[in-house]
Amino acid sequence: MKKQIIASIAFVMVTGLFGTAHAAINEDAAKSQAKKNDCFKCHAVDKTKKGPSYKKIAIKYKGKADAEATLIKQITTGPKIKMEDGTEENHKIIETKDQSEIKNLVGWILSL
Amino acid sequence: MKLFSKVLISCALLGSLVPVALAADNRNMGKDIGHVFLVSAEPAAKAVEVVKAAAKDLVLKGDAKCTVCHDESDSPKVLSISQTRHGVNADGRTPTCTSCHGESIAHLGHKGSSKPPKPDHMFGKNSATPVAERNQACLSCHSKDSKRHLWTGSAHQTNDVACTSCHQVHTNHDKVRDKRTQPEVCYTCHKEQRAQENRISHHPVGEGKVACSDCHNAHGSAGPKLLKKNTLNETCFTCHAEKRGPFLWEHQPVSEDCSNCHTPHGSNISPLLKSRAPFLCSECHNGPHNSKVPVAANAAGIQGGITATTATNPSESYTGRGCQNCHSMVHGSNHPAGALLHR
Repeated sequence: MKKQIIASIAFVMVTGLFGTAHAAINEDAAKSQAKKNDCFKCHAVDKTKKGPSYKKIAIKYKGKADAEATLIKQITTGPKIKMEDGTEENHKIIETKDQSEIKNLVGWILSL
Repeated sequence: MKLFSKVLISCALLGSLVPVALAADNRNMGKDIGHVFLVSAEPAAKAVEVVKAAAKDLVLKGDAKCTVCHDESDSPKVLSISQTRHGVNADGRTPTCTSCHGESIAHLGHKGSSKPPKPDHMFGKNSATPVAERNQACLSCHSKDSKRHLWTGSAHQTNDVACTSCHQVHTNHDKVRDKRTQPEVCYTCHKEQRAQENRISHHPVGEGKVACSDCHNAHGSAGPKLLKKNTLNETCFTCHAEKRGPFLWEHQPVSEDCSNCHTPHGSNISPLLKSRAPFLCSECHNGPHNSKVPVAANAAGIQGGITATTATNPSESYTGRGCQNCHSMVHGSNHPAGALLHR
């Protein structure tokens, strides 16, 4: 009995750790964040605008280990990018500094 | 106990994996990702195609320069203009985005991650565009029709009310143009009238049968208080035609001004009276009730139905409590013997 209890506690601890590492994506919050930061001026979910669609981005980074980090850097450092029409400009830097919000937004894009 | 130690060791191992994974993520952040959205590998022809495809108008003629950003994913409300009369492309008079918002060269030419400058003309509540300029965008088309040609000099114009203070252009349901929702728009400023309309006796505005615009022309009029007609009475007679006359026996205050006795927006004394009889009546009829001087040749005799045998001077507190009990035709009478508005 004692062993079973200990095993259960250990299981909860382990699943808890994984749960923290892969928190559920809040789609509404991500969309709201994207809207607030004017992301939809250049991107759409499934339509190419000045920038590629989010679905296209998700496909591009599917299965890549550094996908999240790459996109986070993209939206937090504002590197020079070439847009779909061939012109270049700096990518917009997201206004929020909250890492969980940024990760949620990136997570949503990659989940599409 | 052995099992306990094994479990603890397993937890420690798994726990250590998470920081390692996070550290790996952090290391990746150092990589150059400037090429992420590069499309330089695409042939130039394809890029041109993309530009052409993006340049398609979505709703209005020539709206592509705006809708390339402000499309359904960015601001679907903007495109709702297609559901309004401003979105009827078959009509040659239909404007485009820049007809109202200006050419907005600085806004269109903006590049970079900063916020772009606002378009030339913005119409929101916090817009920096002067009200006169905002209104000019509308008046450039809407100033010549009979309902709006008196805008200049009207109470709303002189008080800096913008067209967009009341109207919503990018929606198929402009609240102020719907009889049921219009009063709420007007009450935003006219709070006193809101309170009056909630009194016992009121025009059926809240019930959706009468709207403010049935009596008022918010765009300017030749009458007082932005009334649709030239006078108050003329406006009231639009519906209350039976009070118009002409009468054989007129009640002069009625022909002069309905608001001598009535208040238009609401009262706790039915029907929309300013005061209760006999006080309302005695504001003018303050003499003795049994006047010896007949009001007309066929109106001789003592008034109030009291004969000389009972009294020569009937008590006002007795006969005057309900003036309209006898003077029922208070708006005027066409009866040959109706001089006292009895019949």
